Amino acid sequence: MTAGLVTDDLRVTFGDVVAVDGVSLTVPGAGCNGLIGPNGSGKTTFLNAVSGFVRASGSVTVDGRPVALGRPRSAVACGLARTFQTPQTFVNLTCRENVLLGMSQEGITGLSATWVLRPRLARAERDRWGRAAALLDLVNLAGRADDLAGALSYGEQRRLEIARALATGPKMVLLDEPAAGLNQRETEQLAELIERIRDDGVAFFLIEHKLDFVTRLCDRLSVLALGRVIAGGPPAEVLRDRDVMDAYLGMRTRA
Amino acid sequence: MSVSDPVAGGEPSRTTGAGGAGRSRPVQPSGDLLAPLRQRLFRPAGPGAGSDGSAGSPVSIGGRRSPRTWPQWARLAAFIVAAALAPLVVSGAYQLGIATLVLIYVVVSLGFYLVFCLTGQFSFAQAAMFGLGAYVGAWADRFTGFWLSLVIAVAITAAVAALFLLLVRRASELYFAIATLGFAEVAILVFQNWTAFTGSGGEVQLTTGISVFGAVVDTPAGQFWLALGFAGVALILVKLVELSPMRREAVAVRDHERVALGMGVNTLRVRVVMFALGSAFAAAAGSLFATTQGFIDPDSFAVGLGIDIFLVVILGGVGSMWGTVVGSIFVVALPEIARPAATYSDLIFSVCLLVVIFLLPQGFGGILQQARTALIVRRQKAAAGGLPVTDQAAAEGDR
Repeated sequence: MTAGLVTDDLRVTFGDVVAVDGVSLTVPGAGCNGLIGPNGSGKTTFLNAVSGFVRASGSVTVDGRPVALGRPRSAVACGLARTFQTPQTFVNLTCRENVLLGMSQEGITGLSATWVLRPRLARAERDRWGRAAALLDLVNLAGRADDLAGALSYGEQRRLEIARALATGPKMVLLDEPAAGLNQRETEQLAELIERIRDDGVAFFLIEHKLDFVTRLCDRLSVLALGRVIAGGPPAEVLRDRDVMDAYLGMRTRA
Repeated sequence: MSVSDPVAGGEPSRTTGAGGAGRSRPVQPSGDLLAPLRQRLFRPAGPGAGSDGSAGSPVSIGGRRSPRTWPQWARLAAFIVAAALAPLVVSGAYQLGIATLVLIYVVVSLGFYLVFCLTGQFSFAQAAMFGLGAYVGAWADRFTGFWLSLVIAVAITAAVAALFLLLVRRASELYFAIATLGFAEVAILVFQNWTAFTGSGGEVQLTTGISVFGAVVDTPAGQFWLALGFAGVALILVKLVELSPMRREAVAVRDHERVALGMGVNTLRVRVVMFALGSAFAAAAGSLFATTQGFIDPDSFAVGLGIDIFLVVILGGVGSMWGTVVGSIFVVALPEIARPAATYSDLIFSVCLLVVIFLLPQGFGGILQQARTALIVRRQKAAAGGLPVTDQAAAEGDR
């Protein structure tokens, strides 16, 4: 198995608050793995640190390639793509354009291409349109390609975000509470979608509160409490763990 | 890095339960003081706007795979041809002078359209860039002909703009606006006091005219056509940007810079390119302005002009490059028409601005598009509601 995502002594502080306290985690570069923990345990901050959205110390590597911390584009270049807790789509752009934005690293998008190298640009753009159409089809939004993202429902925006993340050609997609705000049916559809993409060879690492969703999808779970990893292993095992229950119920760690 | 960033997020509101369509708008970053204004200006247009060429989006119509762009080019060509015929109808030197000024405003406002409307960079420096172009052009004009001085003015201004942006790249929105205001004020001081470069009090008299293919352009109609050439080229360049991936990257930077960064968009490059390009437009307009007017002084490029340019895009509508044309006509021609009521011109303007901000967030230029959208929606409703119509059509098709 490939090494996947490895963090070593990752630490994030906001002033005096230590949000992520030296997390060393190895996430396999295949399948679906999860991170759970009580509110405020630093899950999202950990994800932000890994994807370069907050400053952090320590190290992050993807398949052995170091990610420059605090630089989102470096994370993308290393094969990490992410979604957000509240869907962050570009509401003034169409669904197609949202997905195409994920392909921005491929180049030929600048002014010189716009004015001088137009035929080359058109060729590259046609190719990108084709891939964008396939991705929109994958997330079941093929019919909405020309609609503004702002016109989509909450659940549809979540799927659009996943398509956009996949457009960056990632090795691993980081999902920040993908099922939050979805109803039972939508959650079910999302799980099926993630399984389908996983079977195509893209790894997932997700943060989630819905435990049935997590146990269904994840091969391994890690548990974060107060910025530290307190447990890890197969979901069934982890959820039986006494410390984990305490952390969630706030009996010992918060006392 | 602020914790209140949308990226950091709070805990998700699971209370929402079922994914309702009502929660489709992402949270704006708090601490962003200009957010309400931007939200009002750059909110998604009504239904069907996305599939409309005038919204500037290269999207397909009727499920076509490739973008259909020829109607947009046809519109552009029609505008240029129609405008080129104007001197045949309007012959007064005064009226043509006003029309020429309108076209110069169109060029400088198109630059601002790139900087502000597309990329969301709230800049007061556009007037200063216009002035820089005018002064550098006037200076170079002493040694070279007009066309070479134009190239020099555009190149120097674009370089200054790029350098300035790199210096203030970390300034967040409001501070960026203040930095550009500072740039504008400093530029005026330089124009006034660097007399070796400009002239006494910053006033410069230009003596050489413009020649095109050996013929000197000195008639009002000739100047109008020359300005129209500038405006036409500017419109074409902006249209090309709008039909290219640059547009979506710019809009992404405008609406959610950090999220765009997380998708791999080189946001700094987008900002620098658009700012330098917008300033280059301003420089070209400034150079033309200096030569057609024959005289420039620093007061012409004060912050008041920056506000005028802002008014152009707000009044015309920020959603389309055509807004700059509509807006320029309003801002330049209206005070001239309303000259008898000159005392009240500021009042008239204020009222216009308030009306637009509150009632027509898409500007006067947006009225046409709104009307068209309403028409399309009504037609669709009629088609959907009237089954007999389709039956009849089918029956007619059988015959």
